[in-house]
Amino acid sequence: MLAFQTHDLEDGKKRVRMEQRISSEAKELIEIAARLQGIPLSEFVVANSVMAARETISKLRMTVLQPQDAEAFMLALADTEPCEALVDLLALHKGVTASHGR
Amino acid sequence: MAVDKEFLSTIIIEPLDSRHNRAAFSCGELRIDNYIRHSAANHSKKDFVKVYVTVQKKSDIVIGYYALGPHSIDASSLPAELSKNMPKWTSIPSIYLSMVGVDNSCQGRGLGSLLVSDAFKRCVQAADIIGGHFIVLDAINDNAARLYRRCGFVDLPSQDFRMLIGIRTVRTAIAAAG
Repeated sequence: MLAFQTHDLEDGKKRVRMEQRISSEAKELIEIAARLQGIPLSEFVVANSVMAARETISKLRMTVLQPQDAEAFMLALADTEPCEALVDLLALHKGVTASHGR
Repeated sequence: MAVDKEFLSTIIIEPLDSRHNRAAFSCGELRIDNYIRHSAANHSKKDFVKVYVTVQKKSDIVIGYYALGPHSIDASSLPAELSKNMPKWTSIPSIYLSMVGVDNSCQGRGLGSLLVSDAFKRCVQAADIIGGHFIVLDAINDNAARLYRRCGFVDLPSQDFRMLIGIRTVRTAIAAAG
């Protein structure tokens, strides 16, 4: 059977409800997936939402490089000269910010 | 790039606080609108990110903003032969530029460029104080990605729209800009 990871937040008491309206097609798809794993629908929805939430937050705080990022990463890591567009962008800032910047 | 220098000289960029009116902010990207209207103040107050807004002098109406937060890059999966050119830490301190938005009423006058350059300068200042190797961001669409690419950002192939640039390069650009 496919792996299903439960999550630690489920240990807490279930005190609140979340309700969403979704299309019947989406509901059917989710039901099929939950049944495939032998999990009650609500548990499937909650566990996967919690997982997605954790992943979202983690992606905001950390970039986990993959082997295929190596070339791009090394390019950014090299002490390269700034391109003209970047210098121009910062020159614009220089030109108009003398009067602000509280 | 259209730049209205007279307009830009009338604006102020400052940290978001409770007196800023952001209820009517609308830039055409719903996610960016929602963030400044509903979440930015709370996240900034709790020190998860810092949000910088732009207003015109003598006004509290937010016409643009950006948000910065701490970030790190986990480079531990990169091939070992590259490691001699890399910082020895597997986690590399960086800064994440999470949102940039300009209100519809002020678009096409160079405010977006000014906000981005202000964000870059602030990243360099932050890196000068506590260290920081890269500015990292997720371009919200192809247009934004093109703009950042033109400034020297590189795309990370494994991550949709995630791009980065070395802070040293930006620091050099600031010096070159005079």
